[in-house]
Amino acid sequence: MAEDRETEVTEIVSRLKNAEGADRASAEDLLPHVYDELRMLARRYLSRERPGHTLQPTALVHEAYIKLVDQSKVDWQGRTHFFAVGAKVMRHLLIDHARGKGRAKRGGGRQRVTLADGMTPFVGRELDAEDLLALNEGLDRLAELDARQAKVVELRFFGGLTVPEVALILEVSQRTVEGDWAHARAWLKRELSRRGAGR
Amino acid sequence: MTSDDHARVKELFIAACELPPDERREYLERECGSDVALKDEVDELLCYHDAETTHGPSVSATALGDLESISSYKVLQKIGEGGMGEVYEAEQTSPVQRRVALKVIKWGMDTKEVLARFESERQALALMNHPNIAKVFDAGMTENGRPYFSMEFVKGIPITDYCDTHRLSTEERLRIFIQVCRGVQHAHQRGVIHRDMKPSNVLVTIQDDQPIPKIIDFGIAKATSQRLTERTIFTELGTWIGTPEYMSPEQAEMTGLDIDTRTDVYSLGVVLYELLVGAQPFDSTTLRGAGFDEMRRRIREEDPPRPSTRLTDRHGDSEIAAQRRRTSATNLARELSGDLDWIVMKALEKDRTRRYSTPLELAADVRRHLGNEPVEASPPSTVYRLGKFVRRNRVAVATATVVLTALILGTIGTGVGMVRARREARASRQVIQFMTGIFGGLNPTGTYGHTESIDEILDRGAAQIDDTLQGQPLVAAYLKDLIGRVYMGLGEFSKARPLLEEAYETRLVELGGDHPWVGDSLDILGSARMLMGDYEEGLGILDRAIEVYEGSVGLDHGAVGNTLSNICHAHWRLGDYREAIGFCDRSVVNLESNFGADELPVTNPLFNKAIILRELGENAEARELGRRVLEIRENKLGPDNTAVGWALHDLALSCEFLGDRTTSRAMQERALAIQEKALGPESNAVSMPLTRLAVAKARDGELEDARSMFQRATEIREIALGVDHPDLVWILRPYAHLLRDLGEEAAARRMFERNITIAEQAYGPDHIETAIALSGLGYHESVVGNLARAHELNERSLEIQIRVLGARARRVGAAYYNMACIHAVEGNRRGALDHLQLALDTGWWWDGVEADSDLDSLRGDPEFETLMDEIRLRVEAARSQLDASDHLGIQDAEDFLEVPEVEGFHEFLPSRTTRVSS
Repeated sequence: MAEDRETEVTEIVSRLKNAEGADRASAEDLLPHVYDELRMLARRYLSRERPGHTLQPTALVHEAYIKLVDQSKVDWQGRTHFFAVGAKVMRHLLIDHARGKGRAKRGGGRQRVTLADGMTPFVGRELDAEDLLALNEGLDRLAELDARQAKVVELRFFGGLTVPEVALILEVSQRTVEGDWAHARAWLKRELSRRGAGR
Repeated sequence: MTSDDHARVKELFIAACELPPDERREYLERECGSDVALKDEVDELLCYHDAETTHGPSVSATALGDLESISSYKVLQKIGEGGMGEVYEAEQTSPVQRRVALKVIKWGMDTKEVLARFESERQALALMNHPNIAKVFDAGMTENGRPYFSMEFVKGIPITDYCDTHRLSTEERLRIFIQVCRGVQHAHQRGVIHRDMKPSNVLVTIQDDQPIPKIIDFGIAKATSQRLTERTIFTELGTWIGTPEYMSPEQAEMTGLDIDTRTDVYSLGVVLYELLVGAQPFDSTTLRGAGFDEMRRRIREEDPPRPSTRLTDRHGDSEIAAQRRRTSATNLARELSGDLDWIVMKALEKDRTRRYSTPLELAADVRRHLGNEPVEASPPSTVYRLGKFVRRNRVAVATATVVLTALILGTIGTGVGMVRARREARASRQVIQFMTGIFGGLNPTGTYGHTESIDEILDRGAAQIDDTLQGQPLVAAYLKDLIGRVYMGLGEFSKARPLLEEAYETRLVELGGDHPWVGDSLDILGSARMLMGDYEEGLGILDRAIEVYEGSVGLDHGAVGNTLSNICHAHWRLGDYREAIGFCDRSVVNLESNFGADELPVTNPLFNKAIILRELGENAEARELGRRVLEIRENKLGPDNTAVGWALHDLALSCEFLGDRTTSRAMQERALAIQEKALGPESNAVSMPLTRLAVAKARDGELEDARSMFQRATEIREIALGVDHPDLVWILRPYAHLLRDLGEEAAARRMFERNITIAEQAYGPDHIETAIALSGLGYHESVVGNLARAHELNERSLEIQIRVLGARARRVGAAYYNMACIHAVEGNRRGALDHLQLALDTGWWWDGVEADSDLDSLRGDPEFETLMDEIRLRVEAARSQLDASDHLGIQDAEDFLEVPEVEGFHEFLPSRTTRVSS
């Protein structure tokens, strides 16, 4: 039943931050629920393949949130934790899709994607599969150099989290997030434009 | 590179970012010393950083300065910077929590004056509610005294950038542009002029995969414009308010006094120019470089090249522009020359009286171009006239139908036209001559010496009345009244109203306040208000009409009958059902005794009564009345009349609600064909049969077909009645259900929410329409699994319905049933059973209960089964009564939420008071 799942997920989300020690839930508890829901939602969107149809990951995460969580029982911090998990799952699903997994049989084209507006290095345009893969590789390289910084980008790109929200998740100051973010954007843009030039 | 190197680069980068650009070099040289590679690395990243134009660097808390002091906003990041100031993304925390854009005006403006000017427009701004307008919420002052505005946060990019990066074709660009025009039109109707229309103030955002343009900054240009008498403020052209490239000639005049809505039409023309050609009419560099007076002179006096010419002039650039439109330069030039050249040039006329007078007219011409119809803006040419000939025939048919229906119904209704024609031969000859004169041009077999549309013909006719009929004010008033009614039939309320009002005033002056013709005028004026969605005011005017009749011809006079029917309509719309039925019955008695029981006049109140009965859930009775209406009208008017079309549509609804879908569908198809033939495929009368056929399609599982039909119906009605007219909900509600079935939950939810807004604005919170809108969203939420929200919405809806209709109305039964389902799913057995009992107490039943999975938890429960038995009995009884129906489906949740359509115009017919002077 839908509301059983809602109760369960809502409970996990509220235990993510309120309780201490053993009572405190971890993001891992939430992951399977978010994964199932997002995969279902994403599959529905991705399978449609209409021309001109683009996918907005943050909108999907938002939709999953509305479905899974009783919003009257969760505050903005709980919501933020949910979105952080959603960002991770979304990145995974999108990259899978871009690599063509699970699509071969359908023979469908590749879905275009719009990441959280104003946050991507591709300002104002949709991303195709190659862009996504390049972005993913860039993020992986960045993670090797600075794991936290890559996490900031993931949360912003794929979850649409704001600076204060990212600060909450990573338990650092907003100022740190802003610095990481500004630098990562410039860094990624350079990485991606080098790729473009080398092609 | 190691992570240590990376960390060092990052550290220097962040520190450098916070320095002004001119101090960065010194800082980096100091820090990097001889490590040139390190310095280059940071420099390179800074370049990428600075290249971000759309979205500036994020702001650190310290950089916010006095913004911190704006209570109830939490500033998140800077998203833009312009001549006027900076824009931040912020979160408003109270009184509501929402994402907003904060525009903080730069130093140097008189804050008090800015705020005072904003205050003067605040009311008008609050009235704006349109999908293509970003709302301006509030204005205030920071601690240091800088003015700021908070407005709806729009995630999007300027319209020109959007179109270019997505390489949209000319047609796709035009479709987006039409939406922009609609937004501006909406604002104009509420008395707000933008004054600073330009691409950067039109952001395109994506909703449901569709590009939606949103106009920002409404009301801000006015508030921040300085008194334009002092030259000094123009020393810095970059910060000049009212960007010169988009500034209208009258704005360039700088008198600052005489700006009206047509200034926005001009600026829209420039935006269109740029969307089509990729360049502005006046080259930006030369325009700004020419000096202040020269620039103003050029805007005021110089004619810009036509778009197609401008394209060819640009040589190399034209190929780039063409690529951005997925075509070649040659093809693009061909696309632009002709219609689009004329449309743009008409919008850019120096003399504003020669421009399109409203954004809607501009949009209409663009739409005509897209539909291969002749555009209004055009130089005469043989080929062009020929094209228009075809179109005019279609219009001629429509007009003839409207006028004839008006005359026939009016004549039979009260006999005014004919009676008076005999008695006042002289006046009537003039009337006939006049009408023949203005409509003569419409003879389809005649020759055309000019290229006029029906509107132009009527406009010309209306304008000639006073000159032609000097000294005969009453004849003139009669004609104004008649043309006003024709305009109403064509859905042109804004043109109808002044004519009807002039006729009223003339009659009042010439005949005095207690003359029945004054009553006629009041009756039609009240009807006009109601057609525009203003029922309260309409009712007031109709009440005055009754008073006038009572004081002159008496309440038994035939003219009173139709006014009573209109009053019934008003009460129904205002949710007062008992009153409505009362007036309906009085109207029927009056009209039957004056004209006979099988004559046309009585069909109007009967039609209204059928709607009300259906609203109360009495569908069978409604069907009986509907059959009678249809029979009379077919007898008197023949099978192809638009009034027959309305009767068919309404009868079909009753049949549909009774489960007879086969009959219903056939009737709607016939209604659709009649209206399309009589009034053309874009008439408002077409939209309702179209909607019900879309519902039928959706039921058959042909969802995409249904979607396009809904879309067409919505567009027709939005154009005919406006985007916030209450009658839109009858289309949008089933449309929203369909969107959910298509998997577009978010879009469906938005549409349900739009319905609630429309209903609340039109009728207030305590009205059946608002209740229906709430339960629509409630049903949606329950389907998508938001049970708590569904519970709350349905409960609110039920409360309103009980208040308005009483707890025992059959219609309320369905609302009880909805609550029963929610209780059952929530596991509240008692609540479910109690609500089911309450539903049954109203006489309600539904054959879908048996299969409703919401109630599965109760199956087998003895108390529940007892109630089920009662429902089964009622279903059986209904089934045995129903002729020729293979499936019975009344009141499945979707159907039940539908409310029928009201007739468009045939209730509003020519003056019908008789024997005034005898």
